[in-house]
Amino acid sequence: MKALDIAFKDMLRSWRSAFTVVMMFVAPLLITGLIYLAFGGFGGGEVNIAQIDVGLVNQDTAVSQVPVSMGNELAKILTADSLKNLLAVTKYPNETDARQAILDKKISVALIIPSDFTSAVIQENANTALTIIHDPASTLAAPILQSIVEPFVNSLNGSKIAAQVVVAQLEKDGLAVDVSLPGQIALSYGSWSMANIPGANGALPSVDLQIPTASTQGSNKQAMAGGVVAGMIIYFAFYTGALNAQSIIREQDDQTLARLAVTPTSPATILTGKVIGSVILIFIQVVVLMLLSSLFFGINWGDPMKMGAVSMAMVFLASGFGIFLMSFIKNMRQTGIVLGGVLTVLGMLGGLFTTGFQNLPKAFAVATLFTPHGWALRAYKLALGILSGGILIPVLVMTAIGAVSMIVGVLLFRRRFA
Amino acid sequence: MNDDFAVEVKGLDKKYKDIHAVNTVNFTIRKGEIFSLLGPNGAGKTTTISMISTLLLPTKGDAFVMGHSARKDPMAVKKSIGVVPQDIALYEDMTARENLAFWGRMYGLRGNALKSRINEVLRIISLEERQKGMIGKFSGGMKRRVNIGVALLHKPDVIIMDEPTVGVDPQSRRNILDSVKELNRQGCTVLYTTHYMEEAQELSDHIAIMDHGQIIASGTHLELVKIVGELDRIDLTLSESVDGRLQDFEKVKGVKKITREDGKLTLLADDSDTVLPRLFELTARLGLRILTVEVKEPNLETVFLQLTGRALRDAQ
Repeated sequence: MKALDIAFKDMLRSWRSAFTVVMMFVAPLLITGLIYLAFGGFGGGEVNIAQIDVGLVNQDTAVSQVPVSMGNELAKILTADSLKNLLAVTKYPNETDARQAILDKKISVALIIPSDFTSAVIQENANTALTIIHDPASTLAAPILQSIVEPFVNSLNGSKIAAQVVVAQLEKDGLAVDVSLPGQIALSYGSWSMANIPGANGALPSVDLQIPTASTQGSNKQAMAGGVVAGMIIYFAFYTGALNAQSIIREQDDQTLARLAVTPTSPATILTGKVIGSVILIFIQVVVLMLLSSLFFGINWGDPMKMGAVSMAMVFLASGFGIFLMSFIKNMRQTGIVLGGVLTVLGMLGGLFTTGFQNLPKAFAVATLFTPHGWALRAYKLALGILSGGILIPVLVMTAIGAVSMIVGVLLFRRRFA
Repeated sequence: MNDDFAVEVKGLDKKYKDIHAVNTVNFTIRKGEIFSLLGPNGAGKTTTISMISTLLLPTKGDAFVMGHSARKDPMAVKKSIGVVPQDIALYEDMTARENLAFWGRMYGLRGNALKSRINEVLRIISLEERQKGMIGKFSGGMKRRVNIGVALLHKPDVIIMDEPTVGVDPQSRRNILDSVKELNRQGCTVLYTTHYMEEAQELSDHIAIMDHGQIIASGTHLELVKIVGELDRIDLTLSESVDGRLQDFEKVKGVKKITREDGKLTLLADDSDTVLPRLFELTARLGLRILTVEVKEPNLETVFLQLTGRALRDAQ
């Protein structure tokens, strides 16, 4: 009962300290808000790619051996309904007009289909090239157009090779080859090839363009954002743990600890009260920060059971570690070193400030696990689905570090009582 | 163990590496007494009461409060005492009532018993109207009163007060001294430490004078004054410093002890009537002018001077 009295007294004093309240709630939300604004939000909305104005110069001419023009087939693909939202195709009679249209900012990119396009497909040694011209200021238009045209060109190349192999085999076997045969084979292969491209028959697949959909990109960004906010929550939870443990030093300096020691209250009860106060305070802080970050920044914290287990372990760890750190401190003048220095360095080494960065060296990810902060962050990432795997091991490690820290800290603090 | 004694201190000793803070101290306090430990700063008073109140573990010896050993049964001792520390030991960001409520709970008080006791204590320390004020906004005197009030909450058998009037204004000091007397009238035993001779003289049934970790004299006020015998105390204020000429005063026939403070000489003499003319003659010979002369009856200050050769105020 007395332990609870001490815990509630500490909590009351914490709520009355503007500094503590700012460091518990305002600072983490403020920093997260700045990150949110700096990166234009954490995703979750529609991904809008502006329609690309494409100029098409189709100079291809039909040849007698093949009933269709490959240039026309390609033009059909570009003007298909499935690409209407992505491409706005305008036809130009020649390359000069298309270039002028780019200069006039009427189009961003132009595709020039040469006059020998179809014949190059069916003639054995013929070569030709499609040309893409683009506005240098428009960096995305050309790669997108290229990604649409390339599967078509690849299928034509496959057709040509297939025809050449068949003709060579027939001639090798001494059979007479009709001049129209290579064209027919190329067409047959081309039809088969196009049919096997997802969304073929004039509807080239938008999925093959590798344009991310709103839902997949949104959920990834959501998880990453959760990681960033989790980093902030962990940092400031450890800060609150140390700040609350600092109250023992403050009470020592203010002589109230000595006064507590002459009341019929055992040192164990006093320290238990301090620990309970710290655990409750950090728990409230974590829950409030999670709720507010969901409200303000749309963070989805995922499975409540997993997140609850991870958060409870982290609260215990932050409380224990705070008591451990402060047990080495002799007076209030030294506490700044722990609060400002040690916790920040451990936060950095634990990866709390680099959660949004990708492609960090693997060695860094391993090094973070040498800090309690790193284990806490790993647990949150696992719970959020940023990393794959179960949360059990990190939760157990956090609980173990928290317990050991708390025991060592309490034993060291007990020496301050006679 | 004698049932008449509220406190028995037996061979209490505390050493810190090179410092012998308290050196084999013995004394007893009868139930219902006000007992003062009088001595200069650094005499070992606070260390002694810290050991009695179980805050410090003695190097040797033991203290018994209401028959309970501080070494063997500290919890029983803690329940029997109320400690008023020298420094204000309160939570400045909590109100007077919140402070009293918290400390009351630490003494095991709950519910209505706690509420009514808080109201009684607020009445004793005359702070009923300011009970909802933050301690941080209180004057030094008001803080001192709450500091005392905390020690009264559980109606202890013995109240231990460590220099409770340090740094307070005269009005608050008066208030505190009256509170101590009132508590004693209600049957409380009080162990009071001070370096103010007047306080010890006014309050105490028994006084122990401490210096350099030892009790150098103890008894009632009258018993202590008898140590000085028939010596008179003469305070002289001179026109200029007597640096280098102090030995001339020591050689004056009838002067037993001499001490100097801020240009003022304090002398203990056999008979002021015969010594004073000799002092006038000496000062005239040295070219000094006497600004004031005061002859005093022997008091605790005189006793301390006699025993240590130093004045209580400047002794360190």
